[in-house]
Amino acid sequence: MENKITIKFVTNGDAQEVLTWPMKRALDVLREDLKLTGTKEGCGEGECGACSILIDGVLVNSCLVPVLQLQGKDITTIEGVSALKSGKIIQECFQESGGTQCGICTPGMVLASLCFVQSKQEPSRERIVEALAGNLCRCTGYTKIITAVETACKRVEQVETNNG
Amino acid sequence: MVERLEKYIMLQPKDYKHLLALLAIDNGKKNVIFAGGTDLMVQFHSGHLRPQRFINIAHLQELNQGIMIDDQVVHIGALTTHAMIRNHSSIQKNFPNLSHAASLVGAAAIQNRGTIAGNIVNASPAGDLLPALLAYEATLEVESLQRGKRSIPYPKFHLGYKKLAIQEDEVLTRVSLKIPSSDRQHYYRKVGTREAQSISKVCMAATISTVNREIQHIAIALASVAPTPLRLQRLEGDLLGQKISSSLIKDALEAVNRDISPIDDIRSNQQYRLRVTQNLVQDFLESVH
Repeated sequence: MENKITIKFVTNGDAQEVLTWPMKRALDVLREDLKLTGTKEGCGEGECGACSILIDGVLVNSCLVPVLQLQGKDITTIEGVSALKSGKIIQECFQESGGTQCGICTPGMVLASLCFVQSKQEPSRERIVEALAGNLCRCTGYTKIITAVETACKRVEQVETNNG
Repeated sequence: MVERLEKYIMLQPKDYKHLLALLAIDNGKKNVIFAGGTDLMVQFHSGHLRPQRFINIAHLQELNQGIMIDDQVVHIGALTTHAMIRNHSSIQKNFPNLSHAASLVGAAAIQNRGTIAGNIVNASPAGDLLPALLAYEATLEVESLQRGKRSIPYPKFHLGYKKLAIQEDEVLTRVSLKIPSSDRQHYYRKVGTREAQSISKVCMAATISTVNREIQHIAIALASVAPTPLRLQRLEGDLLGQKISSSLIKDALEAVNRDISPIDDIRSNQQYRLRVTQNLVQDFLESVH
């Protein structure tokens, strides 16, 4: 129990309170303490992006964040993505395009894609590749992932035009 | 997995004054300042970060004032991330080498967490922002409880491999850059194994201004070819006042050989680093319009 502290934050709209050591990785707290196992560990070094989450809407590698720094933050993990309109569209596009095979990179890819779609940048292949450069995939060869993101951008724009 | 996680203490200063007070304890010994953590957590994960006292500064607003323009000087707060730097119109316009460098750090998720102060104080010989800051002649502001604020010209900051001019009870508060004249041309190139998520084999930042091809100002700074980032001051001295020509460029490449002694290491070797540095200097001088 020595040196444990209480950290309070929100995951996907749910209030959380965790008693743990300040330098436990956010990745481990999500997976072990909160049983949110959708976020994966690929490298533990911030190189592969499998552990990607959003902190206050910003894409980060949760393997590099000590849980103390989650204090008061609003976290989005893959478990919360389908509740977001663009998130659901991105997930559908990944399925339709065949942008997922073993699935281990997919949570991180979807979160990085969500950030890209929300940024409203022009969905050129070049820009998508740069936005996803921190996410490695060993299965798909990336082509169908890029197609999924291109399609998602167009579909999200269409939905917003129809609603607007 | 990190063993004995309970031995790793991380303090949360209430505010900036509290931070300075914490740093003053034991004259700062055994304190490690922790901001974005993108380098420290990698060391942590690999077992190269021993249990000690970490001080979290990520939440301190005094260090996160962003990018502010004061007449002809731009001040960048310590906790300004690479993402903020690359996207800032003033940096893109006046310091394109710095915005370019920030856009090449790691990848998006790293750029969202890594800070300018962290890049400087971590003092990797390969730090991506560092040659840009050298070429732009940055000034660092640091503060301690005992001695208050002081300025360190960035060229005087790196004393040797990971040996810094900042004291153990001091915190880096901001980086200041004088806006260069609009006739300045800028060049930045990072050479590595991949377009993203790579540590440079050679990295160069340079600025130049000419009148009728005669060099009025020149700065050439490099990373990954020495224990610290460095400026090629002797070569700059050779080139100042000279007219750019193919024979001048040829002499410059020989001077590169004279002035740097890169090493073989896990990422590259001496021969490659020397040759690529020469190529970049040539590319730079040939690109001057």
